[in-house]
Amino acid sequence: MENRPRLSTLLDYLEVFQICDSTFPIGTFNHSFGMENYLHDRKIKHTPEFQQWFENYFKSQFKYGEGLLTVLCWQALKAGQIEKLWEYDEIITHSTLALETRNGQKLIAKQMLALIKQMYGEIKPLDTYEKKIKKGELAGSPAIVFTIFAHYQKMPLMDTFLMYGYSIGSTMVQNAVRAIPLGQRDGQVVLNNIIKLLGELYPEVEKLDGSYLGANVPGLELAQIKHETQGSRLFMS
Amino acid sequence: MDKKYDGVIEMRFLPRNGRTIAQKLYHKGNSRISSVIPTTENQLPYYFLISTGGGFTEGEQYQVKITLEDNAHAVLTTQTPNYVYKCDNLRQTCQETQIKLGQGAFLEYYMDEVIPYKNAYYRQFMDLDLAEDASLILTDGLTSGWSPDEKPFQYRDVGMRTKIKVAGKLVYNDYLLCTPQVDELAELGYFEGYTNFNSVVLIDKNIDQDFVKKARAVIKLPEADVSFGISLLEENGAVLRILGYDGYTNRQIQNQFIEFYREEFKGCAPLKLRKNDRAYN
Repeated sequence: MENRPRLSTLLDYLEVFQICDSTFPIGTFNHSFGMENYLHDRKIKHTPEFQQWFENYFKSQFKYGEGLLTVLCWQALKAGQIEKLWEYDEIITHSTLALETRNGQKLIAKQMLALIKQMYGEIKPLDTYEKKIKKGELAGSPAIVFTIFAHYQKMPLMDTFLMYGYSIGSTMVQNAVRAIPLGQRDGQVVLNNIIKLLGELYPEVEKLDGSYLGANVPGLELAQIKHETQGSRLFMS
Repeated sequence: MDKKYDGVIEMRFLPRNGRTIAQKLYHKGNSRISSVIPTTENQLPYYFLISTGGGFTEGEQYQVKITLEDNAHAVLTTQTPNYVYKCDNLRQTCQETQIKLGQGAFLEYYMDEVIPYKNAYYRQFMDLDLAEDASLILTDGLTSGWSPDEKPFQYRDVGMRTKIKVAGKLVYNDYLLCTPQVDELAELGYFEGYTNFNSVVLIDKNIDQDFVKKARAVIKLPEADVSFGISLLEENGAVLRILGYDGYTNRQIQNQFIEFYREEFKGCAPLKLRKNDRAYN
């Protein structure tokens, strides 16, 4: 990578960053991943509770789920072990016990695949992944799609993890601004704290092996399950 | 055996003349199996799994192996909650369980919750391998633990992983990981002020969204403050999750869900487990 001109390297980054933007139209604005259930139960009312929930989401479900997925998938791609990605898809899908969260991930993955294809044409591993999803062999995970693309764009491992984490952070903050009495400014302060948290999480996630994939904690999971039967709702999950 | 275990249980069940018999009941070290306990359901084998020390001490390793041959049906429970004592020297206590169910087999395994003492460091790994039309009821749970000062979440690190495969394909990978020395477990996302977490997983190829809807309608809300939900798995089953303040309330919800599945869905006779509820609250 040292020999590649700086301009082209930065353009590669911008192209990956485009996918991290909270306005990238892949349906992420439809999902709160359980957060809306805390609004419904009046457990999240304002910024402090949202920040607490959000940081804990990153410290557990993201750390052992999508965060670890970006690390494991990047390492597998580097080693040329593409079949490991399909195994990780199976593990993450069956670790996600809430139906709506699973369905949300599938929809986002599908739309992310379609839009990347529209912009870049066929990228071999993504094409294989899409075919396996269409055949019903795999469910589809946005973190796996993202990591394949980031690796294709020659992103290093740490950069891939951090950018994906940022994309989850910025998207969820936008969703929270719509749903909670949370101002855009407060939202950015929360996101800024998430950026710092990602810096703390990376060295820990980098050391984890695949056996930890899908680990979770009770509250987050239960809120995602309970969202299914919640009366009024703005989000699909 | 390449690994030294402090307690081993091996059980094998097979059908004979229209009922299930225990073909193998083996125990070693600190693990015991009760004698067969009569059930209300005719001739259904029912056993307690017993830990003679009353709990697991630091660094101990336990192994449980359960096999149900084709069409066998058995009910197993732990006798008491699984107390995991302090691990002051950072040596991990561990229990590994391997379960195999043949075609048409039905295992009901009612494990009580894990109660970790102050500084406990525990791992529980369960691997279940089911034939395509086998069915399973599996319960477990985790509490805020026990400590001399009665403050919750004084344990070090508890991880409980359950992997279920049906016909060789992964259908359930549940890994509950709680690290109270790093995370604030009373906060949103973790235990959220509650102290008792319980889980029921049902594996049955006939379970669908309609079952989930009916099960939700059947459960009567207790008066106590408790949070619970049921969701359909990606394939072959459903899960119930409960966060509450006491084991008794959680078990009331758990039992209604299990009874609905056993009696309405499987057509089994009601089962009253002869356990003293107050003894393990």
